[in-house]
Amino acid sequence: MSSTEPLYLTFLITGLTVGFGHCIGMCGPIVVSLSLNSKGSNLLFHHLLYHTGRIITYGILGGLAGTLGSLTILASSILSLQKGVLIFAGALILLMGLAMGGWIPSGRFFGGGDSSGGVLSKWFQRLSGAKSPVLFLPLGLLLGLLPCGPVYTALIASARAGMNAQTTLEAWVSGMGLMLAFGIGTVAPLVLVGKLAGLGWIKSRSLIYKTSSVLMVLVGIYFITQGICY
Amino acid sequence: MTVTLDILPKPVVAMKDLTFTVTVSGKNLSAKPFIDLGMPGMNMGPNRVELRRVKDNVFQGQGVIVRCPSGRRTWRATVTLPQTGKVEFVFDVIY
Repeated sequence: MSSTEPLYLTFLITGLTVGFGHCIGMCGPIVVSLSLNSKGSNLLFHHLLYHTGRIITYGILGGLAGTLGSLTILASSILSLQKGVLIFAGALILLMGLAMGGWIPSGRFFGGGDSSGGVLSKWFQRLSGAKSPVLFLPLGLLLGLLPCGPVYTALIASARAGMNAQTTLEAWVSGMGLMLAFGIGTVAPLVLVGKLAGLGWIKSRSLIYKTSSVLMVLVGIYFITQGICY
Repeated sequence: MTVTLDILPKPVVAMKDLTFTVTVSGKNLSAKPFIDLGMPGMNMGPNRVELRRVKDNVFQGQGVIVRCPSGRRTWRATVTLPQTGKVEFVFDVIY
């Protein structure tokens, strides 16, 4: 038995516990945005695709951290990319909030709007369209790069596991495995939040829907500000 | 018994390799202490700094304090002295 194996379970549980606290606070707005702008029938499938993309990115980052044996080298290498992703996520949430509230004439970004919207609107609408739900996967791949404290912490463990490995391949696999375990642990809380936000009774009440739109706009601005200052 | 924690280099910056030094006076420790890093009121996942003995009752280890995108800067280092107890240190870091 590898000395890393108990750590897999530890980080699976860590993902779950962090998911119900930190993740819901930080990544909750993203999955809520996806839900509020998605068609109900494919909601779970869309979310699972999104989280699969996110977990794949975590796995790659874990493999890199394990191979490098250092979080700080990895983090400094991807800092600019992470800033960009944070701003992109903020812009995405902001635009969806504005569209959902009817403050910009482009319909609902993630489906349900009219088909005469602009290029941006059509691109977003394709995300939840029946023909291209798979686009949620690259969205997850990209947003898996969002800067996040618990992800960094898990990457420290990946780097340490890599330092204890005998070969580069073993370092990659152990680092990747820890991050995959962590990522899988975070899925259930975020899917739960996404499902709750996607319930029909929320969408059917205009006041709640309008309030959600305002909150999304504020969260989007917050993400953009954090991205600029990061 | 007195326990002191020193973190170098200063100022303490997040996402940088840091050296943690724990010095214990007034008691001889039989087992090595360790440090758990966390943010008060926020679960950031397990981040433990393992320490090695560098002198009598002086222990040192390497670690990283991660950056929280929320902007919060206050961290807590919990030094555990096996079979003796725990000491908490709360401090701010620079981003």
